[in-house]
Amino acid sequence: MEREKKYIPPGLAGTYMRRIAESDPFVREIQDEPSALRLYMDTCTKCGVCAQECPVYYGQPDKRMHPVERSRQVIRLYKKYTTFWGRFWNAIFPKPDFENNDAELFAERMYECLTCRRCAAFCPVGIDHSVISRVGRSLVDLMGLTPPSLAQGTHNSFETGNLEGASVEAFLDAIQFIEEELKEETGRDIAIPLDREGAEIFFLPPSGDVLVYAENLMGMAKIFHAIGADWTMSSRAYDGSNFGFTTGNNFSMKYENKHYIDACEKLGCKLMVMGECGHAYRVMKFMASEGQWWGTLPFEITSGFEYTAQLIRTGKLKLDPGKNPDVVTYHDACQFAAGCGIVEEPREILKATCADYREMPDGGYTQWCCGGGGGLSALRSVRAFRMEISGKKKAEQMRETDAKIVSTSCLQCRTQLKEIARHHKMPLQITGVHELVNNAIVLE
Amino acid sequence: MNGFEFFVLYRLPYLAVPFYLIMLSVRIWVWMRFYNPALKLLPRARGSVYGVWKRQYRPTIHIFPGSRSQRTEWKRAIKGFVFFTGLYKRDKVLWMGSWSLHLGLLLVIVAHARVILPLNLDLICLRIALIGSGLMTVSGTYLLLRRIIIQRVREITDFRDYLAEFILLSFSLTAFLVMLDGGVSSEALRHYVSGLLMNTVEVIEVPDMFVWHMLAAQLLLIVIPFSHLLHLGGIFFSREFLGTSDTFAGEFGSGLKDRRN
Repeated sequence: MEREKKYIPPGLAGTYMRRIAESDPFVREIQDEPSALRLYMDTCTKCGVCAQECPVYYGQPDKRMHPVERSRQVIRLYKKYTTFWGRFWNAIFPKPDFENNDAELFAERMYECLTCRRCAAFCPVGIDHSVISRVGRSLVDLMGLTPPSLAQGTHNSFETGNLEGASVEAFLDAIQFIEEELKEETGRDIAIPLDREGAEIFFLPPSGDVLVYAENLMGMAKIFHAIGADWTMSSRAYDGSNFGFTTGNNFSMKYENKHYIDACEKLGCKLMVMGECGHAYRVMKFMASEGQWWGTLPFEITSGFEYTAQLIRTGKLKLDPGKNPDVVTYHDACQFAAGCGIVEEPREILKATCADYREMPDGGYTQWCCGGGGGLSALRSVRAFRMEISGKKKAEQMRETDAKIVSTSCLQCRTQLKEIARHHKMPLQITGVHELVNNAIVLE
Repeated sequence: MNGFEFFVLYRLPYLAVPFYLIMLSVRIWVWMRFYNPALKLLPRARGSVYGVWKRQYRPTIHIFPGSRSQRTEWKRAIKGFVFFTGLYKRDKVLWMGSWSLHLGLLLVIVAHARVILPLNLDLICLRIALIGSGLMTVSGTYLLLRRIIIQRVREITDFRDYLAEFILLSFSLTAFLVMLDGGVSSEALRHYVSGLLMNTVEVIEVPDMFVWHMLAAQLLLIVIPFSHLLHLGGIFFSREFLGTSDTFAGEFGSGLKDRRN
């Protein structure tokens, strides 16, 4: 597996770095990670503010769940293998890599971080523990200890281009089914164009919005139909999600991203509109595009929220809030809010499509994670952890709102919130944002 | 002057000060070796340093909200740095302890400036130093007690953290006691510093506690590069990684708040 080349300085320092980097892929994995790790381990004041703000520590306030303690598991490895003093002391007093020499425990702990970045927002010195957890996860991945469902998802992405591993036939069936649903509901022929070369817009929802929660895709299809947009989807790259981001495997992250960039370029579209997946959008917009992983891209990138909100602002969509009469609240997905700054747009959409919209406590950039962030909502094995510990705060907030509908912007949050509602016996409906647009849009 | 006093006043500084400078430079070099956002401040930087910087991996871990303009960014950065507003909005008690400790440190540094100024500012400087060291002692005691009492802080604290805070507290307490004992005159201090620079032993009139204060100060210099006290420099780098000063200033989407129902 080819990895990103890191700059190694010339001279003695470079010789030293090269020697340890080439000797062991485990060491190289730590070294190749963002330099923020090194900075963070030097500047943490250990004031405990991060723990105060961490949803996991809130759910179970003990040492194991402390963000600093989790990061320390990774930092001790970094020190042991890459710093002079770490190597020196290890030569004299050798220590095991992991506490109790238990790599599986280490893996478990790395997946107890939701990577929601609430710690970074509140930390007085700006330390982002999600970056360190991701370094830890990359080591877990290297040891082959990534949780099976995430590993399967990334494997599926390599094999089929989508996390579910669905075949092209299954996708085409799903699209046909959605078109029939649209026809039945509206009495109109609302097509979902596929592989149309030269279309203006390339729409890329997460595959879950095609195969499981079709209402979001139906909402977008109605929007495109209402404004007469020239749009298309790809039958080969229809999964705008990214598990490589959550597993810490940079190669997977970049491959999954490249897959749909290629599709958009091949179809010659001018604008990529991404659906309701925070991880994929953050990787696409703020890493691949801004970081120029694949050079300058020949198309613009926007999220479905920005796209729809702009149409509402300019009066191009006719919406009937009466179609969503119940009390609606909104859960900010961490990757969309703190990760991409998309906070106001979903609210604009919800206020235009719902009769009674109310804010969830602490909503916005400093929202509390649903408890299933960082890929956890895909893990059945940690369900008890998600329901009782990481999702505890969100369950309390959902109770506080008196809402009947909780709308959210990310597929992973949606899965987690559904499970929380069921587990804590709350009679709530969990929806996507464009699902409510799907209800409220008036087609003329 | 006994052997201990001679060692602390006239020999240890030759070890402690260079050690501090070298270790701090190593730390800064390590941070710069990876990714150095500070180089962005040099618009015309060219040559090898700029070349190295250009080829480095750029972290893309920006956090939102981000300031809308450069002016707002600077305004919020200064506000966050000077008043610790981000911390104030989240934990007022911790803010009180932390901000007053740093304010005390600033006052102590200002008071020491009289050594290089060709004016007789003893009276005012001694008062500033008394207030500064008193503030540092009180807030340092609070921070140490907080570390011991509050669970989420205690469980991540190790021996080195306690040691660093103990030395910091000793430094401020001895300074406070020196001030209570009448302080040290500018003239005596100038003699002492010039003696150090010329490597000659100058006999000076100082309170006994001054020796302990100098010992604590030099131990502090040795400990800083290896302890959590190093956040002094790193804070600017880590904020740059996040790409926003809004969180630093506690300005979490103020625009959003206005638009809420």
